[in-house]
Formats: sequence, C-alpha cells, structure tokens
Amino acid sequence: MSALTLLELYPGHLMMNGDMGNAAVLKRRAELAGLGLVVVGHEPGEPLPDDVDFVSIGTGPTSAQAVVGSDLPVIGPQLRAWADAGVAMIAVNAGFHLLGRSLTLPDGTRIEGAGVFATTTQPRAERTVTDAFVVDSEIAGRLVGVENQAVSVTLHDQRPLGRVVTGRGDDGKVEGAISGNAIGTHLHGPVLALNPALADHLLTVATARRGEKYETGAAHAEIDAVARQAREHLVRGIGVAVDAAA
Amino acid sequence: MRFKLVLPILLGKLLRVVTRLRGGGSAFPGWFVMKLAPNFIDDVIGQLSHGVVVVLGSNGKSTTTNMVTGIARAHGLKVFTNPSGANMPQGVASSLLGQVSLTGKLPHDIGIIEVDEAYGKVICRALKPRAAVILNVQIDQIYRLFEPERVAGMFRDIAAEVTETIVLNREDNFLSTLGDRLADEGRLTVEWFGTAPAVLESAPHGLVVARDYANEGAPRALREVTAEVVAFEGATTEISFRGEAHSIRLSARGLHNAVDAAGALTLSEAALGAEFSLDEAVTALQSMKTVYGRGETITVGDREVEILLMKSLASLQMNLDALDGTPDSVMIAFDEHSRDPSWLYAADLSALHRVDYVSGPKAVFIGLRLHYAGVPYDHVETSTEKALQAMLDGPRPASGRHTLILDYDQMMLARKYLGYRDLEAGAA
Repeated sequence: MSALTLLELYPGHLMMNGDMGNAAVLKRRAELAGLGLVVVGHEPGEPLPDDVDFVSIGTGPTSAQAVVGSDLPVIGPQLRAWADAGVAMIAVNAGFHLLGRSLTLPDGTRIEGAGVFATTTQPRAERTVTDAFVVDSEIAGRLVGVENQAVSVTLHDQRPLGRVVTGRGDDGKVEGAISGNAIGTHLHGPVLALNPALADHLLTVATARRGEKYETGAAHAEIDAVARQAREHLVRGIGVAVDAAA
Repeated sequence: MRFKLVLPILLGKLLRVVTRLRGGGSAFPGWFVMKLAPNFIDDVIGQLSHGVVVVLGSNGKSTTTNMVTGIARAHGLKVFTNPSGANMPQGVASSLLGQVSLTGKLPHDIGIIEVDEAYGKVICRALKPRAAVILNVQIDQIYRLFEPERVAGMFRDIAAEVTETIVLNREDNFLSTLGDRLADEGRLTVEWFGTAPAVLESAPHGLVVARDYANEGAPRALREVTAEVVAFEGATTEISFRGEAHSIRLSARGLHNAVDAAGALTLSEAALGAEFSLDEAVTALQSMKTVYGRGETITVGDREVEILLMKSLASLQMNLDALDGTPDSVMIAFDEHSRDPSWLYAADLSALHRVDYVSGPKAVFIGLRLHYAGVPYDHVETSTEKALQAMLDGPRPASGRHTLILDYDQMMLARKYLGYRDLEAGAA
C-alpha cells in the first residue's frame, strides 16, 4: 500500500511541549509494522493536502493560538469532513481546544475553532500542572501523562476521552473528547509515546479505513515495555496503579 | 561598623559550616540570615565601588557570568560572584555570607551575579544592578515558567530595576522587541550583541530562541551591535567588537558559547567603563576554564570524559549541534526533577548514532525517546556513577573520549564521582 499521510497542523506555532513526538511515534510504529508514513506540515495560509490518514496538533503559547486562530475558519470545513470520514486525529492541549467549537483566550479574545469536537474552552486564572496525570479511557484503558493547562473545557453532548483519576482534565471529572476517530486530550508526555495502546488504536483505525491491517511485533513489544516503565515511574508514589482495575 | 549584622552573620556563617560539612552547598543559611536581617544583601552590596552587574537568560548564565568575572579579574578587580545554581535571593545571601566579615564588610570591588528569571525582580530590587545582560528567551521549564511571553514579562520587570545599561541579544525575538521599547523610553543605555546572519544560517537549529508570535512582522528598528559573532568553528570564534575583529579560542565548543562571549564582552565594557581594555578582555576569555560541566573535558587515565549539559531543549540542541562529529561513546542521564519529559521529543537527536548508557533516575524516559528516534542504546543504569564507572572499565573508545550528556544533578554527581569535590553549590 502507498505510504500513510500524517498532517501536522501548525508545527511552527504549536511546538511548546514536545507534542510533535506524537507524529514521530505514529511514524516509527507504522514503519516497524512495515508501513510507510509521511509527515506533512501545515502553517496558516498554506494549502491542505487532498487526503490524509492522520491529523496531529500540539500545544503552544497564547500568542501562537491567536495567530493560528485566523486560519481555522479556512481549514475547519475540511477538518470536519475528514473527522466525519473517520480520519484518525490526535489533538493535544491548545490543539484540542482549537479543534473544538470555540476558545476564549485570557485577554477575552474569542477564537472560532474547527468544530471537530463539540467543546467550548474558557481560561482559568490558576494553571494546573500535574506530574502524574491519570485518565481512564474506554478505548485504550488507563492513560498516564503530564498535564499543564489553565482552562475549563465544557462538553456539549460530546463524549469525553475518559474519566479523571488524578489531575484536572476538562472540568475535574472528565478529560478530553473523542468523536469517531478524533481524540482531544490534555495529556503530554507525549501522550502516544507514553501510551502505545492509544497510538495503536489510531494506527488500527487509520489502516482499517484503507482496508489494511496494522500488526505489531517484537520491536513494538520492546518499546511498549519501556513505555510501561515510564508510566510506572510517573505514577510511583502517588498511590495509583499503572493499570486500571479490570 | 554594622553591629546589627554581627549576630545574624555569625549564626549564618555557623549554619554554612554545618551545611557544608553535611555535604554540598545550601541556600538555607542565606534564607536564615535574611530572616534575621532582611536588608542583609542591600547592606553588603552597597560597599562595592563598581556596583553590581547581573546576568540573565534562559541559557548560558553560568558560562557568561564566568566570562565576565574572568574579564573583570583580568582588569585587576576583586569580584564577588555567586556560584551557578545559587541564583535565587537566599542563594546569593548564602554566597555573601561566605565572603563578608562578621561586621558585614565585603572585600570586593564589583558583584557579577547570575539571576534566575522568576526571582529576578526581587533579587534585582535588592542588588540595584548598574548593568544587566539578558542572553535569550527560550522555551524552558514550562512546568514553572509556563510560556515564553511570561518569561519575557519577567525580563521587562527586571529591566525596570537596572539603573544604567542593558545588554541584549539582537537575534532574540523577545529581547529585540524589549530593547526597542527601552531605547524609546530612553532611561537606560541599550547595547546589543549579536550573531552575523551567515553564522546564524549555518547553525543547524539557529539559537533555539522562542518565537514571539504577537510581534512577528513588526518593523525592526536599526540595532547596531557592540559585539557580533562573525565567524565560528568548534571552540574558535571571531568576534567583531566595535568594528574590531578578534579571533578568540574559547574553552568550550558551540555557537552558544561564542554568542555568550559576545554578550560577556559587551557587559564587561558597560561594567568597567573607561577601565575596559578589549585586549585584556580577549586574553582573559582565551585563558578561561570551562564552567563546571558545560563543555568541560576531564582526563581520566587514558581517555577523556567530556561533560555536556542538557537542562533544556535549547541547551541539549545547541550542545548536539556543537558536537565534533558523531561521538562513539555516549551516556545520557536524566534527572528526577526534570518533571515533564515531553520536551525531549522537540530535540533533533540525529547527531547521535548510538548511545552506550541511558542513566539517571529518569533513564527510562531517555530510552523511550531514543527508541522513537531510532537511536539504539546498549545499557540502562539509573545510577550515573555506576554507568560512568562501567564506561571507564569498558574498552577505550576509538576517539579516546566518552561524551556525557547530563541533566544538572547528574552532572554534579558525575563530577563528584570523578573527584571534583569543589562543587559549584558547595563553593557557595
């Protein structure tokens, strides 16, 4: 099959916390499974590719969010069409908020989002930094990462990604959002590096859309053991198990 | 005589002796003396004939402070400086405690002080610096500093406490905007240091400074540089100072060191005024030792151990970009207190082809990152000392050199293990 395409949105703007690692994780895991994956970047004003298998978007400072906010109305319809068609998406922190319905910046500026998720995001005065941010999801079990955000996310008939075990998430109770194969979250680490089950979920649905199969092997298992140790390290000492009770 | 200071200083000095005997330095005596004598720093610093100059920035503070200190000493001045790492108020007070007499007399001419951005406002209010250099605004420690804009705001607040001259990096996106604004205000003399465009273009990742999205595309003022890096190769740099080019062999490789040297020369001129001699300054830079663990090379038996610091994306990337070819024996060690490991994925690790040891309490996060970079590694050993000993017990690499890329605490441990007990915090 031809190489998979991953569209990375605003890599020059939303690059503050290593979320570009999510693209690197998908690429490496695809390649270890014998699949090619090409990463294509998109900055404001640039044209979008015709078709993609993945969309990845990370987090950035408020000033960068304001700049890319002007581009979202342009690419929003295409992103929604892709989401409706089942394209796999991973949107982290500011990227998650920007793919929602709207986002209000700390200075009161309102940004119209891409509308992939039925969310509205408001700023909070206090920042939440959670070194061991734990979320229980249906699609990939217990997820572990790092949280660093200062917003409240309201879900409007929107399914969350999971339930908050530690940290704050959207509202202290639930975390992130999931619409079809599009996932929004506040989990850093990067989320797909620390939680290969979530990466494999995205790779599975993306290849299935093409009628192909994604199969992991020994090389994946070796990495997964390291990722598990990293998750164990993060939750060590906070009285939370690395796996959710069955 | 300052009799009111005698008791606090006596107790503080005793505490200092005790904490040092227990191993390593501590900011606690400084905190203690400031509790008893809140104006301690102010009282002591006021005695310096040349006042205080401060060094700020996301990266390069220790190196630059070391350079300015060496230059001032070469001019015959007695310098009070804080050991790097002791860059918060209590840390500076601890350092002062080690130098003052019981009545608070400080036998120095000038203070050259490295200051943490988050504490800069408070500390500079106490120090009343005549001049400051701000090296860069980079994405750094976002779990405590949040966004680069916030750090730029801290620097703006700190600049308000400086009394005469501010020295800024022309190639920094936030600092160039700050400098233009300060120049418009007219209260401070604004001096620039910089990097020639050709040098910048040849750097694989530039200076890894943060983008200032809100001001991109704004018209640029004419910024004439006092000192500019016009050429650079390994540890040798050519710096044009007020139009006069000098080739300088620095103690460590890397464009970041060359740019720090340009900043150091500019701040030194501001600090020394008419006493400043460029020839003296250049000679001082050439004869300088590296700061602990920043590109430092230690000889152990038949091989060299090179220590590079990786305390943020910028320091890791600039050090990788400065590597002399592909290193054939590498250890990377990550600290427990590096709370959010995400930034490792923003680094381009293509300069590394394989790593012998991943180490430190968070070794597993380095291992995971290397897996996704496609860089193989041989061993995981969370004890940096054990990993280092195993490397030294192993075969001598063809290059004769082990390259250690270490987070701050692991750097301190590795140096101590190699017998360098005069640790920077301990020297406080």
